[in-house]
Amino acid sequence: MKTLRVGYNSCGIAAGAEETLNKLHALLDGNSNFEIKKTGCNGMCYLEPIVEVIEKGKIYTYGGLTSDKVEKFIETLEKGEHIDDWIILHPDHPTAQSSYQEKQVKLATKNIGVIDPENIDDYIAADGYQALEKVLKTMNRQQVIDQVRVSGLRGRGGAGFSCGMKWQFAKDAPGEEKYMICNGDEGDPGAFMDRSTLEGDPHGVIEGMTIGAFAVGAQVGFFYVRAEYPLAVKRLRLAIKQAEAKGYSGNNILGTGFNFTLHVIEGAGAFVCGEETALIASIEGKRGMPRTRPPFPATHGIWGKPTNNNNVETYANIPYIIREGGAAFSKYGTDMSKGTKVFALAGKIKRGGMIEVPMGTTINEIVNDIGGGILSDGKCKAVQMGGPSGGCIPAHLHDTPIDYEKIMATGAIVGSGGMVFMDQDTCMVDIARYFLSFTVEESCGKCTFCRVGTKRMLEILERITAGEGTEEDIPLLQKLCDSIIKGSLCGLGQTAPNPVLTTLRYFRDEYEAHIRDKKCPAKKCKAMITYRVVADKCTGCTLCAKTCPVGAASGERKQIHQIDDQKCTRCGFCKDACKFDAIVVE
Amino acid sequence: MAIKVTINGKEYEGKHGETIRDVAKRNGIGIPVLCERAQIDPFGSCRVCLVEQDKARYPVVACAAPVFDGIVVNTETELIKGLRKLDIELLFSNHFADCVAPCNMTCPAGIDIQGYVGLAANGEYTDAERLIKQKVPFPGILGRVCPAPCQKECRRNLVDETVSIKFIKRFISDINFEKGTRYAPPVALSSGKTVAIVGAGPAGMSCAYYLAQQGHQCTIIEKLPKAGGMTRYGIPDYRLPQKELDAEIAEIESLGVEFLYNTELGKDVTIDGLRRSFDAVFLAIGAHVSKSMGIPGEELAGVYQGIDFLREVKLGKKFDLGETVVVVGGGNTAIDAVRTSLRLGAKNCYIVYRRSRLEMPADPIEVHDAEEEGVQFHFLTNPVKIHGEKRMESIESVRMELGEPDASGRRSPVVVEGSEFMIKADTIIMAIGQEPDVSCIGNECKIRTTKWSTFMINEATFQTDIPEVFAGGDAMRGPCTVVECIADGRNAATQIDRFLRGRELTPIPGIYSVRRGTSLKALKALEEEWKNRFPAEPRAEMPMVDSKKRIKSFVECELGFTERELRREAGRCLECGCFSQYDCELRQIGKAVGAEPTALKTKGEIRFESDLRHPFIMKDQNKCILCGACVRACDELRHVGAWGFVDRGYVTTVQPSFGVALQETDCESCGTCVQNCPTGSLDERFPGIKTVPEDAVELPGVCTFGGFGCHLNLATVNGRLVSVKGQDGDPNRGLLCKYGRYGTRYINNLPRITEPMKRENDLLKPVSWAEAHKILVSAVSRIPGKDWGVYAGGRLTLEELNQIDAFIDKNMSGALKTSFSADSLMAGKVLARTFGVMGSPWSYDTVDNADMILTVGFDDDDMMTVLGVKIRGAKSKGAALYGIGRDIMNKLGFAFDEFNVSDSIAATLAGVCKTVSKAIKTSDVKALFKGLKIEGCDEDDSVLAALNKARNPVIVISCKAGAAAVQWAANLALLKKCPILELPLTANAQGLAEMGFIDEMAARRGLFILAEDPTGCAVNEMVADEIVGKADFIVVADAFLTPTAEKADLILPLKVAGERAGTFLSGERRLNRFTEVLKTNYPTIFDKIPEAENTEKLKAATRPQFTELTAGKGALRQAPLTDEEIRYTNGADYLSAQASWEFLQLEL
Repeated sequence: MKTLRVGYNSCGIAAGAEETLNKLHALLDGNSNFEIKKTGCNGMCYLEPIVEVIEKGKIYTYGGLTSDKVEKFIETLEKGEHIDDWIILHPDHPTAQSSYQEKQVKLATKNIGVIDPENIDDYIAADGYQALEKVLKTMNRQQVIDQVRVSGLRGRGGAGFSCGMKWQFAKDAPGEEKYMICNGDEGDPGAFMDRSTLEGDPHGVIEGMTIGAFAVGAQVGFFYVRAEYPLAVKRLRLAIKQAEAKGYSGNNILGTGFNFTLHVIEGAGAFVCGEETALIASIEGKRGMPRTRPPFPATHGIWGKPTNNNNVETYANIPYIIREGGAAFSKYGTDMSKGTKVFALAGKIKRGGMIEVPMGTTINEIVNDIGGGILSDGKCKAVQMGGPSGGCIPAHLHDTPIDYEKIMATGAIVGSGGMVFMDQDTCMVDIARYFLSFTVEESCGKCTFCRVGTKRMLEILERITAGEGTEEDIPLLQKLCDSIIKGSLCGLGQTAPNPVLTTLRYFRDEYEAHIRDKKCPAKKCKAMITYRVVADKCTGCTLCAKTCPVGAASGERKQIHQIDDQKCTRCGFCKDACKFDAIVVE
Repeated sequence: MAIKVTINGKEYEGKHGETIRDVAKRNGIGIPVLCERAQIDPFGSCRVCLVEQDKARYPVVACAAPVFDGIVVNTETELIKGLRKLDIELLFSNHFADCVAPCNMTCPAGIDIQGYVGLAANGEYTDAERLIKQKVPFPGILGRVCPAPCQKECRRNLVDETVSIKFIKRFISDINFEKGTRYAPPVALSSGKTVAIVGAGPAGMSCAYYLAQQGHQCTIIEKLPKAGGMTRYGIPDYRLPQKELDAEIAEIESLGVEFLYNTELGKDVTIDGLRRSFDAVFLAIGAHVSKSMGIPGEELAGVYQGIDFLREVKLGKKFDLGETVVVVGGGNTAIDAVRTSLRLGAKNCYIVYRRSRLEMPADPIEVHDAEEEGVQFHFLTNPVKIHGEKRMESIESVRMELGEPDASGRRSPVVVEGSEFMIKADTIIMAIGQEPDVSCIGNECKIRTTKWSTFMINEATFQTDIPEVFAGGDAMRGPCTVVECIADGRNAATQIDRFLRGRELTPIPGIYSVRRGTSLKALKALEEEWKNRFPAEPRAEMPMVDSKKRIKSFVECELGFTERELRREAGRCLECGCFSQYDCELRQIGKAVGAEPTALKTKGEIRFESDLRHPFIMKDQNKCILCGACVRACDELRHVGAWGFVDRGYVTTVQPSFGVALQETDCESCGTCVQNCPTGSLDERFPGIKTVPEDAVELPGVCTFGGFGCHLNLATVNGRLVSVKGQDGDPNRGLLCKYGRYGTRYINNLPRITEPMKRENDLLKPVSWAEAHKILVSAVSRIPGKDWGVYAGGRLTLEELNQIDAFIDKNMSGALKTSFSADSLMAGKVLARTFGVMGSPWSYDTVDNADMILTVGFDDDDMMTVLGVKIRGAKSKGAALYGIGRDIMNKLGFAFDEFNVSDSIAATLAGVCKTVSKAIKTSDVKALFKGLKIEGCDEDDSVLAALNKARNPVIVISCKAGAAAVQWAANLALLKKCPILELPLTANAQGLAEMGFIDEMAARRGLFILAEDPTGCAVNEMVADEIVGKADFIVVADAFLTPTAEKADLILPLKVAGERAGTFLSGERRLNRFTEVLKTNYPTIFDKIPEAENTEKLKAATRPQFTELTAGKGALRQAPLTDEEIRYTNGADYLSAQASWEFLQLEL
């Protein structure tokens, strides 16, 4: 009897997991030697579709198993053999991909890719709801909070505020009617930790949140998940239904008299609704706009009632902390940042996926050991951490351990876990412009500094990347950054200048090259580059002329070609097409 | 418990729940803010009120941050000041709007052009002149001779052609002279200081005009025999007639300015002498010396200097110019000289100018007019020598060509070698420029002069090297325009005034304004858009005397606009400047914090078209700062929610819900959004009237419409009503309904009765008061008192009612005393039967804490009043809302939990009471009233069930409900021991009742109708028509020519509230006193009949001051009828009170 686990999160489905699964069913349905299960993603998104073969307690992980390979795969398995070339993780010996998993420690994500997220029994079999039972039957509210405090768990949404303290505030807030919120409005470009977690292990989050509800004394909870995550929403709703049916949610949970009703609210995709007061307004049916604090949601949240709000990953850590004790969690990590952190690796990295590492792991370890280095064996230039609110950490600081304070010292933030890697071909001014354009669009429009200030900053960056920057632009940018940070109403505005500030801090020379020399060192900014044919290398193959969409590249066969700079739109197709490296950007 | 708050190093006491701004405000520490609005929850969006708080990582918003014990706040650190300034600059960077119109910004004297053009369009000519005279004393002169740089920057140029600003100014001046409505400024008490002004030109006289207004004694010393300077001696009469000049000079004289003519500085008086005799001296001697060309032959006869020639013509000297006159030069003086020559009989007149037409500095219109009159132009020509024996005979000239541009940007003329040629002429007049004659100050004087022979001054202070000697105008600048000289005179006056008062002479700031573009050129891109937006409407042509006719005399060429032309031309103004420029908080704060409007350059401001779909409320999204004051006010104060935020990010806007026109939402046109908008993004406008930005003064008033008694702030300019706002504080707390807000303006627009009129041959004809009196006396003696019906309206004051009362007693004893609004008095009468009080004895505030409200006879209109808003407010706090009425409430019906539509409200209510009566019949009455619960009633009746459940129910009746309905409602209130409130229809309906105008309406032979229009708008039309139809003789006293007035035999004028002082009694018996804040200039009937004694009736009506009685929140607040008698306090014994059981006697 072999069990086949098919990674069936959004990432897997996008890579063809559905076709693979269909093929497997077509071949194996009715075959009692095989059992097929759908799971979440084991984090190796870059090798999806992934199918794991479990036989005799051993796990063989197959990567890139697209449907066309399934027939051969099953044939081989039926023979009792394996196709070693397709195995990415082997139970008996290391593989080229082993290093991806070796440095990871999975506490919050331990079930993802292992259990079937649509089957509560699978979760229960993996110690699921044990922590909730322990809490309801053996602990009082303060004891729960104490364990969370002992664990040192800090909010994984980005700000890193102590989870135990937050729960304490909500518990101590006067009032009988209280609410819990799970913030799943993940909006950072390149981040997908919450999606993967909700898709792969919804019960883990439900359990964590229910424990929190017991601790603070809440009766109703809201999952706020963006509508762009339909699979997460579907699995969450299913999980809530299953949990209610089994007595883990709803009224009189596990017969203890504790009531906790969960609702799923789909956010309309406004980035600002990740901000807790905006999120609360949105739940209340109002426009998702932040309000001034204090009062804080802990005392004045949904409909003015005490409300606790954590993000998905924070809640996902709770069952482990309760089961194993806060101390077990705090074993991992650094002095100030305990436990593990989940990251989504994206950008120019070889192995893009979701990882969970102990706090204290360095960026270098993530790039090189786990991520396998930069694409095309290029050199890493920087990593953007914390999305549009974070900053770019240059390669020379990549021995910085992941730790809230140490990352903050670089000008970036740990954030919710998005890591976007950049290579030498990335223009840092352009990257700053990109992140800023995101905030300009996603600002709620309420406060002046964020709404107008970021737009004025964006115009300056657009000016610089268009080769129209002036000497006054850098000081003006700096003044605007400083004022927007200090003057904005909510976290969105207060952190919006970070990408600009960090690139200004570490890559000022690139800004200056754009302004003074009208040159883009990364050769990205179209206004400042020209495409030229290197006469020595051109063979007159005519490929560039054929590729050029605007007829800028031309020449006779076997003759050296030319590029008309006036016509050229700097699309770069010719350079990509040339087989002789005869086209250069200057 | 007090808490310690430290602000800017000083300790203050704060209370829990207060914000930083609350504490700062109470202690006089100003923290600017834009988004904070009275009575609306803090929002914190504008960020202007950021302050540093020692415990907070970043600055906090003072409007929302609560104080706590030991808090340390700093409001004026460098960081905060920098943030505030940048904040405003960020807002300005996306503010595609003009505070002040470009014409105004361009005018050297800074005249509020948009203002006076708008006032002229509205026919407010005196006010228009007042506005002009704030900046220049000579609208008539400037309206004729100003080169009008404003017109070049007029945005109308983008659509078609400029507005004729200059001619509009002339019209205003002329019509006010014609009608005797010229504006004369007030003059302050004498300061005891004296100023000598040398030169009676535009600069000198302007200086005198503004100094005289400050109470300084001015003496103008003039070398020539008359005043006017260049305007008299440099500008020919056909452009500026002497009588216009004399008239405006006379106005300067009338301020007490003394003129000493034929007195020359340097000869008759000296600077040192003037310094000894006066406290200050202003040198405005002009530039009257012609510049010489310095060519051979200038000494010959027939050679004249331009400005000397013009002056001597004015002084009466005769000239023999011969047939042919050549004038050299391209400026206005050259044109004036050549056109004068034509009028003196010369046949051939030429202009010789060394550059081309394009470079001519003269006004193109002048050039055009000269050409029309037959003047010929020789361009690129320059005289080099004048030939002749004794008298000149010919001019040797050379051809010129244009070379490289010089420093001024004009291309310099260069001589074409060998191009000499001769021009035959009898006279040559050289008009190439003038300069001041500064020799008059004498050699000893320490005042320095420049190389251009002008006085050297400190440009900021207008002071010469001698501190008490100031200089300005042509004498300081060299030859310049009249309007520049006037500006100098006025600015110098400001500095001299400061000097005389010992104040610091700080530079006079320019106009602070955000601008859509600093020049018309910069807005060229808008041309297409504007052409589509504004229909083309050609500029009015100035009517002229025919060119052949006009060269025969010095009669004025331009004839001036007719009033029709004027109104149309003024109506062409695009109203570029912001209507809120005088009270825009953004502009005020920007100015205060030194924000630079153009600090942040951008091409990315978002441009919107103004939304003008609503008849009274305009929205200009360009000026919106997204503070959401309108959104929040509409939602939180009115409970309507017509406005909302749309989109997010930089492109966020405020729009009516779903983008429809505002009037298609639940908008009640109450203007609360406009009142709360801190900028000009939301503004008022009125169809058919030019909206004019005006620096208005807000004065208190009382609404003349409904019986709620709303307190108003009347924005007035010179006693003219401009706009209406709700007053903060009780009873309406800033709120108004559409009638109060926009209806009050009717007094500006409806035809007014300003003098008595009588009917003669079926036509109304004005008569004198004496004749009116005679007619009235004869009618009163002809018709006996009992055959008179006196109908008084609810807009008459208690005092006026008292006066009428006395008049009736004396002249029409036994007359019927009532009102066509008697229906609204009915409720009072009914309530008096039940409660012994003529009206509701409860305060409207009882609604605020009600948990159940039953409205009786209310309709949409009632729901939109401030009482309606209070009801909705209670509803939004959780009160149950029930209604019984005849009509479905269309607009706000959704607010009701249940609304019973019933043809007979009374029957419905009687039904409710019937179930109660059963209970009463079967149980002990005393026991019934022990508990609040009405026992044994029909629980199926939802209204009754809700009433039963409620702890603080309130019944609200409309006076439209009918007597029976009111009676049943009163019975219900009595049973439930709950407040019953009534909303009278008119402002002083309660006063009418108290003053005894409560007889049953009936027909009489003689009718005396005051402030009522039964024919036009009666509650009960048929009754009204019958009463009016049966009368033999009708006297109507009213402010407006109403349909009723048109039927009258005698009409007498009245004024409206605000035009006279008085007292109204509101529906909750609140005594509302108001003063006279609006100006009128005619007497009314109340000025003509004898003052009445303060009768007992009036004393009783005006005694109970509602506000004297205060009760705790939640308790029933009741108004006392008299000092002794407070009948129904909370928990009073109802049975021992004299409440009568009306319902028991009615058929059930």
